[in-house]
Amino acid sequence: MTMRVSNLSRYEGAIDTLQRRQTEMSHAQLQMTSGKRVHVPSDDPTAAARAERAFIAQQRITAEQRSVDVSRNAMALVEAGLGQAGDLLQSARERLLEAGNGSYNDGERQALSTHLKQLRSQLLAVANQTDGAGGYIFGGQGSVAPPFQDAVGGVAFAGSGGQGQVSVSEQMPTSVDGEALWLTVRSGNGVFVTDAAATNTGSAYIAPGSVSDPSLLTGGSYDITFSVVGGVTSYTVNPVGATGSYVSGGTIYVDGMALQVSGAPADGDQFTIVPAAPDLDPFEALDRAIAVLDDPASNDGLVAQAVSNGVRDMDAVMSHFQAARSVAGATLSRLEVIDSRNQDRDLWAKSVQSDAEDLDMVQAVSDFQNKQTSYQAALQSYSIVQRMSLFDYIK
Amino acid sequence: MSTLMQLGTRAMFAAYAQLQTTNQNIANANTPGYSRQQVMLGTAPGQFSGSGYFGRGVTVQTVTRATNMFLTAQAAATQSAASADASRLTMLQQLERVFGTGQAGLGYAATQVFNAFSELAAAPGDMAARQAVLARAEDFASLARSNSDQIEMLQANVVSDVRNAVDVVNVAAVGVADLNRRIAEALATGHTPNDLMDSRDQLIRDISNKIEVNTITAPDGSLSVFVGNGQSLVLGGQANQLVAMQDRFDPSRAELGMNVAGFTTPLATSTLGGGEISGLLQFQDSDLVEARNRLGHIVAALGTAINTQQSLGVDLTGGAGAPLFELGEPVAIAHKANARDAFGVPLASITLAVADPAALKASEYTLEEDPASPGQYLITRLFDGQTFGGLNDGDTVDGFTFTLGAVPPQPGDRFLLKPVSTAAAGAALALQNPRGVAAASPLMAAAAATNTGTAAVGSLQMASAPATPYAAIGDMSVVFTSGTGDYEIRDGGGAVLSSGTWAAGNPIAFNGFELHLTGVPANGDQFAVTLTAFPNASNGNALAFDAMATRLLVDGSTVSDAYAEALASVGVRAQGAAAAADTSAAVAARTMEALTSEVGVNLDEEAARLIQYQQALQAAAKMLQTAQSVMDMLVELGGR
Repeated sequence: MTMRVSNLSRYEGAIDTLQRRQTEMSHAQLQMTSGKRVHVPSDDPTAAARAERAFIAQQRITAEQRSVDVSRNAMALVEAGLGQAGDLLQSARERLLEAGNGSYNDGERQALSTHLKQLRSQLLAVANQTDGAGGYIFGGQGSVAPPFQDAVGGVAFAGSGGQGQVSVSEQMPTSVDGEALWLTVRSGNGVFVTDAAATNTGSAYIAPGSVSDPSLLTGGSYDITFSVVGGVTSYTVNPVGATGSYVSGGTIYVDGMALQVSGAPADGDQFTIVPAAPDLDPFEALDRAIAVLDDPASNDGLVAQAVSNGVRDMDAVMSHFQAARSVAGATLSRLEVIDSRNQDRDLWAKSVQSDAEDLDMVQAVSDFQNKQTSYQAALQSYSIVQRMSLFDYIK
Repeated sequence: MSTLMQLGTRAMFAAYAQLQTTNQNIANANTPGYSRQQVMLGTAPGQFSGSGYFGRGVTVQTVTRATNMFLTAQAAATQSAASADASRLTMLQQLERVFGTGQAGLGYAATQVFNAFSELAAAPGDMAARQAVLARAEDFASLARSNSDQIEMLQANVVSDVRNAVDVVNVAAVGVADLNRRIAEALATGHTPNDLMDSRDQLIRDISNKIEVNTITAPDGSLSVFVGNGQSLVLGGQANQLVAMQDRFDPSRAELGMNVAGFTTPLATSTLGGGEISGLLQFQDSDLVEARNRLGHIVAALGTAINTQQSLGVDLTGGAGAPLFELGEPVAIAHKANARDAFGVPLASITLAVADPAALKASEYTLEEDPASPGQYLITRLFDGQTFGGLNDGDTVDGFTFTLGAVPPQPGDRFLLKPVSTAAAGAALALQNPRGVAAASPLMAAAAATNTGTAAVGSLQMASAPATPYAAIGDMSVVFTSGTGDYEIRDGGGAVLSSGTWAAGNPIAFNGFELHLTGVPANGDQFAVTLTAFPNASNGNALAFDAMATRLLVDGSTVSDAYAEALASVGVRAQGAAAAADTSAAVAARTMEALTSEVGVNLDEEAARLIQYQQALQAAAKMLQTAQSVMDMLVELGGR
């Protein structure tokens, strides 16, 4: 049987080939114009899914970066605020030391007291600082009014505890627990608090004291009562019952505590020692000092005690703030790490997406040229072969 | 003399017939379906005479057409397969455009919603941020709706294409029946009616483009045409009609049926073989259904989860959040054969409700009475054939609950359950007021300042709706009673509400909240879990929304992963269909080439034969001329 080719199928076949070549060429052209290998999922389904996932990852990273920025701004404000507060407290400490100058009279003490009042209100303003977006950086987990309210009994905290967060996957705080930071400093020297009774009439004051032997501490309350009999001053420490003769500036050792009383106590003067608690705040400390300095009837002893207590309290608050400031600093550097990690992740996601759906331009150009050549060949062969017919030769 | 003339005349007639047929072939060289015709010549029987048998010339017996029944049937069959694959591919290419990639996709729209909540968490009281959340939610809902509309448009296109194809088949079937009659009559004359048979073959080819057919030739020459599982479309001179009927389960879909003597019987799609109709129905029943289910599944799972999370939070009015999205309700459709009342309304009905969005699957289900336990029901998951038997009214399967209506299902009733397919079609933003976005958490947790351990609050999450409202309990505190993690949860008055032992990494859970701690708590440490003092500044619920981007909300995948999977699944189908279409088109082309090479016209061949028959005609004419001159010569001789 001889092979026949019918005219109809010859033409149909040739046209079909031309169409196919043209389609391939235009597809290659579309890929080169857009730079993408994958336009519709069927071009490469697994690559399309991979590219989609990488694209979504980039969107999420963008949102996370915004959260990092918010947290960073808040922590920077906290650090700056605590720095300002530290400066104010340092100023107050200096004023208090000045007040301890024995040669000052009432008027000068009054002036110092006024200065301390100004420092106190500036400190309150720092505590109530806003974050510029309607919140308060020391307001904890939310506060709609300034978190520190000045009331008759002292400054009260009207915010919420804890820290505001701006992400669930990382700790990215946007505020600080104001109550824990400002109103719960450990009082005294951290272990016990010394104070003079308000009825003292002598010129003695008790220093903050220190711990000489931690193993002997009982955590109880004590008082030292002085009696002046015939020019000889002696003291009794209750409830221990220890007694001794008084030397100004001498150290009294009781149950692991080293106490120092200086000055000249009057008969019946009493000094108390109670366990320290986290209930000190700078406003209350300043208020106590201001009250004593304001009162013209304050005797030298009380003034000296107020200065000693005030300086001790300022130091305690300042070191508390210092610790908080370094926590804020540590948070800032952690946020830097998160930021740079996010940037790396973003870059990785972009490269995954690009690998999946972008076109290898060199390969594509070479393929296109191939397709162009084969299209040309099809056109040329059509024009030559299809033209030939026996009818051309029959006259 | 007369013999010579007769011989010449016959020769001329034969050559003339051949020329005529060659002209016919040349004229029809480009007519599709035309079979090359050929004149059959025969030698007239010789006449006996004393000196031998003398031939009596040539006779034209008949005109035949070149035909190959095997190749014709093969060409039709391969053409059917190619049409089915091509029509399925065209529809799939349109379907994959519905699932956009990158910024045009549903995965991106969902991520934008989560990102908007992340921004809201940074400034929960900011009206602009709340408005942005509503705007992104609206974008998601309208994209879901528009994707669903595109899918439904494809569904409508399928139905209308099937109807058009059915019309074409019916007209062609009537034509075939008519031709059968005429061919049978014509064959009675003893000659084959070539043109009629060509026409009939062409009509059969047209029919097999639409639906695959088998043909059987009857002794009287008529061709009977069968479709599907042996249903006869044309039997002799009688044609039946195909009908594009509504699917008996779901009226929005099409099914093929055959009208025989007034009764319409459905033809199962799996028996249809090839053809455009078969390709369209396959696309409708498997590809389109899966796409609709996957889209609805993502929208239902995410939308329901977001609405639930809204209810766990507190909005600016101080109450629990209202639903953010409105979704298309799940439906249960009664089978056409279910018991109905006088108005055609089904007696029994079933309602569905989504119980656990994370357990939903992208599938439709059928429900019928369980044959193994009467009085209970059997639900079959259509995606993979998994069955759930022994179910009662109100049971939950794959995250949805079914409830029987007032009238229970009658014996033999069957229902098609669509828990997720309708969700995207009805997706809309339900909340318009930005104050209604529940960004705040009802509770907040803080460590007490007197704590001596290293534990801090990691996060406080609302896992589920509280059994007792938090406002009724008031402020609570978690107190650690030992150094090994034993804790008690006490209310404001000190009464113990719950107790347990904490282990690192596990939350402390009670009444719907979960408290995660970092570090190690010491004996006596306390954590206050109180009602949120300032809901306008609380962002707890907004953070929970943000975290939904990584939660496994959609049958074990995150929303964006589920969308990428849906995208890839449609892509794989389209890719496979493209490869199949290429292959079947190539096979069909090959077969058609083989057929036309046997039955088609080759102009070169016809040109050569033209010369051949022209010469024969000339020779025959010359012969007549010779006979004429012999006659003249004899007459001249006789006339002398």
